[in-house]
Amino acid sequence: MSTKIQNKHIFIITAVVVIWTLIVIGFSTSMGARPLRMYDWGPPVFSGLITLAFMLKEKNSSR
Amino acid sequence: MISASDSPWKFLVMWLRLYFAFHYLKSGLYYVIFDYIPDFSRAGAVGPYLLEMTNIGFYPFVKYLEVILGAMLLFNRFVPLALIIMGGITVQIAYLNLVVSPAPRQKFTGTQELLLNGSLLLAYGGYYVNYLRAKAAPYFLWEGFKNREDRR
Repeated sequence: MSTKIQNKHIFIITAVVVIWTLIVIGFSTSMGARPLRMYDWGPPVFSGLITLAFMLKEKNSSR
Repeated sequence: MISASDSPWKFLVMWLRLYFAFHYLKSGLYYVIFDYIPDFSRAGAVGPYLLEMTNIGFYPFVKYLEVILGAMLLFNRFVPLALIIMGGITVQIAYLNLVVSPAPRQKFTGTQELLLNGSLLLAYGGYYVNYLRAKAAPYFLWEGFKNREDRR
């Protein structure tokens, strides 16, 4: 039996995505020395958006 | 005990799977579509190795493989198999970035590769339990398919 999705789960996933994306941005730009490219921040952000969409869909369908 | 089918863990795994998929796809497609090969003369100690990889055709091979593996993860097909193959690429990337050419940006790249592949291997680790045998008798592939009870 799977756990129902709660708001805190959405918050946790969002926090992980944001924190890791900031880390990626920091290192990929060598702390601002290089330009920021979608090539670097794209994967964590787009995968995060898709995951959040699936979470919201499952949360709404279980109501 | 937490289960892989519980929230939020299954969504954390989903994020990791999609992240690694896009990570591989962007790298592979950048070559496949745009014929982009980085300037290895600026790659430090790793440069000659990557240049030779290109000269013998192995670099393009790896790029096409990255597209296939990334697509497998993106569409959630044969993920346990893809992760094993990706492990080989991860070891190479980690070694080159952490040992051969350990600049700060490269240290992050190598560490990220290990974290992504390693955490996904753990997340799907239940499928690898049968590999963790100290002793194993021969067991043909078709015998395994015939005896397979896990229909996940």
